[in-house]
Amino acid sequence: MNELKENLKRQIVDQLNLKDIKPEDIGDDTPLFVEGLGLDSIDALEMIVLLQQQYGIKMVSSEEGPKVFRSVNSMAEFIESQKGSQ
Amino acid sequence: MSASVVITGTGIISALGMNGAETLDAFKHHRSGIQPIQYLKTRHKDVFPCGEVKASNDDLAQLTGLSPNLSRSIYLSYHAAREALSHLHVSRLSGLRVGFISASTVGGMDRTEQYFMSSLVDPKSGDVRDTRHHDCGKPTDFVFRQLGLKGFVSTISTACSSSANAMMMASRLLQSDRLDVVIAGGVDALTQFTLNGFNTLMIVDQKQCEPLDRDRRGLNLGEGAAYVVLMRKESAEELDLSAICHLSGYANTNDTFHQTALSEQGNGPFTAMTNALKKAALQPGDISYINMHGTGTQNNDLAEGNAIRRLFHPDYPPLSSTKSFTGHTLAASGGIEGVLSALAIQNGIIYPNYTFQEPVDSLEIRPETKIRTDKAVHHVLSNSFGFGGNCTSLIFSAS
Amino acid sequence: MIRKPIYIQGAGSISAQKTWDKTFLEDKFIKHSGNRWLCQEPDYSEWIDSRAIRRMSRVLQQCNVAAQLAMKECHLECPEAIIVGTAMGCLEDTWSFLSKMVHHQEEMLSPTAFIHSTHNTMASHLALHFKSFGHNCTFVHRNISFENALTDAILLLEEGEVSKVLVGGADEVTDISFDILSQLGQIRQVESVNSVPIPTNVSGWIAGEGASFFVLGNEQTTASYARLTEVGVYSGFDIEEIKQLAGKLLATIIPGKTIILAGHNGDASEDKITDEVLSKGNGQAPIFKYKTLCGEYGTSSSFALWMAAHMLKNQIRPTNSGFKLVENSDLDTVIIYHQTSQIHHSFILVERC
Repeated sequence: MNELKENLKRQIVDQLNLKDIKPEDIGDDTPLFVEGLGLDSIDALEMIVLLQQQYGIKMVSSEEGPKVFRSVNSMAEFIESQKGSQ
Repeated sequence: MSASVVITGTGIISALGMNGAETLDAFKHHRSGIQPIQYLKTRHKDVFPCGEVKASNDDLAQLTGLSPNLSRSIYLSYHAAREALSHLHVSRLSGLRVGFISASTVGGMDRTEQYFMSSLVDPKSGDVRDTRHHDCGKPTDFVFRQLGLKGFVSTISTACSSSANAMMMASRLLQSDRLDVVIAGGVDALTQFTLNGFNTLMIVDQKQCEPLDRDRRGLNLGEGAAYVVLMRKESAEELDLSAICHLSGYANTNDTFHQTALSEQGNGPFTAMTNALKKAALQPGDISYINMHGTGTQNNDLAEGNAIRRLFHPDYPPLSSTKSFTGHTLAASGGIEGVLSALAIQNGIIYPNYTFQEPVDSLEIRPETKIRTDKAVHHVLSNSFGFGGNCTSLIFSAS
Repeated sequence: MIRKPIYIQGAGSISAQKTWDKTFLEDKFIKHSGNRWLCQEPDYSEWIDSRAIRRMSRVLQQCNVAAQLAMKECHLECPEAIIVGTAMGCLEDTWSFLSKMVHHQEEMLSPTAFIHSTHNTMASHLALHFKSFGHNCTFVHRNISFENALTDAILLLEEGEVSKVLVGGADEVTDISFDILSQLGQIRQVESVNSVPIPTNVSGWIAGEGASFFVLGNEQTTASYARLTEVGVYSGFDIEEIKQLAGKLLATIIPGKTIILAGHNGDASEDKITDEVLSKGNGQAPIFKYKTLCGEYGTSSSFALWMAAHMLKNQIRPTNSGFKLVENSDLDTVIIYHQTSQIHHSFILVERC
């Protein structure tokens, strides 16, 4: 799980081209949107692609986004739960 | 007082038909042009229904008499522009300052795609000359020359409000007496680029779209072209042409909220509609029908709906989104809906939504569900809003 | 036939010369080698918020900074209208999305490149940056895109509903577009010598890029550069007709008080046309070939307008190596002539104010 989270942080920084944020700056529970990293709806779409490219998880609607992409923790939990269900 | 600008001719090609008559016929029979993809080459062929013009490029070449292997935008643009000018032979334009203002977001992207699909697989294959069609000005220039015009030509690209801005620019050039006659509108062919692009935004409906509906799922893409012929009222009289309607109001604003989304309260749309009414010296109560931008996405319909509520509540005029018949034709949509607005006034028609079940919870807005011919149509408000916050509203008025 | 006084109140440019910090005006001209001249660029991160910059292609960054430079000069925080001309739009993002679409066979595509590929991204980014809710338009008609944008700005200022408009022209050259233009035979195939002017007896031109923005307004202030007096665009005419039209414009030349910034791009056949049209000026005004400084691109006349504004205000004239003071401060008018591919010919007239 920890390795997954570290990978996620790196992938988020890469995919979103976050220039002055390092993976280690992102806490497991740091909110990714608005008051946290300040990501927006375009980033949410980018992270949907990230999940598909890196983890083979296909989200069919962007409505699940806010819940899944709340933090690195919630993303990791979602990825684990998807693995379990496949 | 600025000069009155009239529309004397219209031309339209879309999923609903090859000309104005076929288009009206589709509405009369409540026939949507949104169908499974037939012509566009894409792996999403069976996933997303689209409003394709029901003709292959070869068919279009034959229909227009143009050579094969041009970009699809050129065929569509030329076909519609020629219909718009059918009441006025180019020879009658001699001595007049004539302009052609088109609109496009993809230009000849279909040809660029062909080149990329070959050359990226095998760098030695593919014909690089395909890319000569790429830029947005290419179809405009081609049609400009093919129509035998010289003088002023331009192309506008403000995403989905492009051709509304083309008509607005035309009207301003006429009012400032810089031009005498302008053919204005726009074109966009359906391409892989746009279908895949909109798909990344997860706003493309896999079924027939349901604009303004509480349960709307997104938009259907479409394609087409439409143009109007505009001139000052006196020029129309001198040329002995009857006016279909006036272009009485217009306004271009920016929502300045987000690159791909409108502000929830629809600030840009609200200001565009308000300023267009002011330009036309009309009150909200004067509007007979609103042809909404109404894409069918969650965001657009809520923002546009809120803006309409702010301006019209509690007396809403009849309204609908004709995109539920044509699909969203992007740069062409303002032109297509402008021509539909002119035809609405000319024929006393109010267009319906293709389907409608339940209104959006926070809005009372209920579009028409059946075509109406029971009342005179004096003033039509036509909305076109795009990515980048580009919002343009036009008002067409009976002469 | 501009019916109200229109002044250039602010000007900002990023180009193959060091226009952004204006050392271009004092130092020797930068002589580039090769057939693709890239911009001399500032450190964009000093100008643009890091959250915004991460998604912006080079041309978007160029637009942003060029516009900020123009706005700063006249202490304007929010323009009432924003109008952009771009011949080719946001090419880097277009090619990026297109290439991924082909490589990934229409699967797993990310939205950012698509969103930023649309031509109106430049003007809408500026609207967001300056929080400008007014008129916002993008013209994309080849080598007259910038002239079209100017025409829209002139109309707005004549109509009197706004008093200050931000207007600019921008285009970028990317690896893929340079490769395509080379394959099409439009780019000069022989290595260019580092010289100004570029030798013009060969085929093909040199690819350039840049973004130049202006604040135009009805009021003359002490900071105003010059007065914009004419934007004439002629499309679809044959060469004889163009020569006639050009003749009328060039007849206004007052010898000794006018300089022509001409759009020769180094391609022998193109330059023959440019020479022929300018011959109607009967050699009454010296001609400087401005694309020898910025390369060829659709909206290069915006670079020329930036030059013209500074020439008139500072009373300087370009030589083959750098600017020199005009004798007796005699420069009253600059005429910019720009044509490519012989379809669209444009003239921009600017006068001392």
